[in-house]
Parts: sequence; structure tokens; C-alpha cells
Amino acid sequence: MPEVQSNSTQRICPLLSGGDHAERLLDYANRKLNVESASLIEQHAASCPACSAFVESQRSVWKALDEWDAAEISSDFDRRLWARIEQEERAPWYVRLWNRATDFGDANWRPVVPVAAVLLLAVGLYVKPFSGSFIGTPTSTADVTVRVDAEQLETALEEMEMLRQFSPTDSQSVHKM
Amino acid sequence: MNPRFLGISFGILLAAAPLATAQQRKNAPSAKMPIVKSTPNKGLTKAEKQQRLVERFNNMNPEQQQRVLANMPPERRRQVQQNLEQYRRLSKEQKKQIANQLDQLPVEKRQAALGVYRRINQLPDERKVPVRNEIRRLNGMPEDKRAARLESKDFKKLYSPEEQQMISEVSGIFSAN
Repeated sequence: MPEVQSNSTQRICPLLSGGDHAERLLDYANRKLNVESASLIEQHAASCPACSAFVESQRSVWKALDEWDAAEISSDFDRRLWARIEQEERAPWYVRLWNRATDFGDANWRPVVPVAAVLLLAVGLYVKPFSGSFIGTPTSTADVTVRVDAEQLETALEEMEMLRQFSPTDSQSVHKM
Repeated sequence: MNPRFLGISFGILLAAAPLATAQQRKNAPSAKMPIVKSTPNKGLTKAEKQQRLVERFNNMNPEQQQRVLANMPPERRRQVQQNLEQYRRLSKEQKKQIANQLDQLPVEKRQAALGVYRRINQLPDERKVPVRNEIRRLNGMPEDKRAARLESKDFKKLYSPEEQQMISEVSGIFSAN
């Protein structure tokens, strides 16, 4: 098993032993060790494939971070940000309400908004047909609104016609029409 | 605006919507039941109420009448119009006489007669008239003669078994004797 000799003359592989020794390996990769300690790690890594691979992968990460350039903020970013905030504040109340309802951070109730809107629309469509079904409304308290049901009307007319057709001819004047 | 307030508002709206719909439905007649102004039906017999219903329908404008009959199949709608025409030809006295006769009929006999009336309407046109005339003649006969007629060879020769059944079911119901 490959080993590294620490300041206390112990010969231990930092990856396999874990604990403080592993932290020393990370410190090495993060370039925090002094020259003497870094030299000891390098000597060990030269003969230990596992530590060597670990150190190499950490170096790649550092290299990538060194090469990364953050995009620069445009010179008028602040000016445009404040103009946008001002514009939002001047917007009509319903626009502000809508913006808050549809774009407010991580509020838990946000998914409810579109569902509520659809439900309200559905309720509106459901209620509306009933509102237009009146023919005439009572104009005084003496008036009573009465429904004219098609089937009741049909039965009433049928019963009268039935009587007219079935009653004896000579017994009444109903048939002399 | 506080997002929590918005959430609560939507919640209240959602909870109130079904109540509002139910209330509106409770107060509103259905689309096929237009309402018109009328005086109360208190103290009227069943037949008088029926005649009042027919009068209401008769007093509606054509558009309102169409709306009442809108959901009815064309054949039944045509039958209603025909029966209404017959009703319009009745004098006030004749209408009163019909109402009196209908009110004197027990409910079960009235329903049985209505069933036969509807079955006769399903017969071919050329069979409707003789069957109705036979019923009318039988209802004008004394009970013994009526029974003899129903048993006669002539009667059985003139009418099919189905027609004989219909005639015997209503013979005597509208008898003037």
C-alpha cells in the first residue's frame, strides 16, 4: 500500500486513511499547504495512483475556474433596472395584481392562480345561461310568476281533446264545433 | 398587495361560486319553462288549473310559445298545436263543461283513458276515426247494450284485437248514463 510520510514521520495514504489526512490532500489541491507539506504530498502521489488521480482531477477543476470569465454587467444595467421598477409601480392596479399573482417568488399558492381563473371562467359560463331564461318579471306583489311547462301543457291539451273525442255524441254540445 | 390576501380572495371566490350558482338556479326557471304573469291558482280544480295553463300558453307571443315547445320532438309539437287549435274553437261554456267532466273522473280512469288516447294516436290515420267513433257510440249506450256490442261478431270483425282492447278499456268511462 502506498504511504506518505507526514511531519510526525507517520507513513499513511491520505485517501485511504480519511480524516485529517484526507483534509490535507484537499488543502494541497486547494493550494493551501506550505511548501514542505505540499512536497510530501507530491512525493506520495508520485507513487500512489489513487492520490495522483485525485490531485489531477482537482487541478482540472482549478484550471477550469481560472479560465472562466464572468460576463460583464452592461454599463446602464442599474439605470434600466430602476426604470423598470418605476414603470411597474406606475402600472394600473389590475396589471400590478396580475404581475403579483403570476410572478411572485416561491409562494406556495401560485399554482392555484391559473386553476382558480379557469374555475371562475367555468362558473361564469355555467351561471350565464340561467340569467337569460326569464320571460317577463312580476311588476307588483299581486302578480305571481308561473312556469309554463311543456309536458304539463301537452297533457292538459291531450286530456281535453281525449274527452272531446271519447264523450258520447248525443250527450253534450262539446262535439258540435 | 399581500400575496396571502390574494390567495384568500381567490379561495373565497371559489367557495362562493357554487353557492351563487345554486341560488340562481333555485330562483330561475329552466330555459324550457318561461314564466308569465298570472293570478294565483288557489281554489281551482285540477282541470281548471290545466285550462288556465293552456290559456297562459295561448296568450303568449309565438316566440315565447316556441321556447316552451323547443325541446319537444316535432311530432309531439305538431300534436300540441293541433290540440291547441281544437281548444281555441271551444266556447267558454264548452270549456267549463269539459273541466267539470274531467274533474269528475277518478285519477286512475283519467290516466287509463289518456293512455288509450295516446295509443290510438299511434294507429294509422285510416283506423283512428272508426275507433274513436266506436268509443263515442259505446259511451252513449246503456251498460247492457254496450256489453252486448263488445261481444258481438260485428264488433270483432270490424276491429283488430289490439283495437278491441283499446275500445273496451275506455268504453263506459265517459258514459253519460
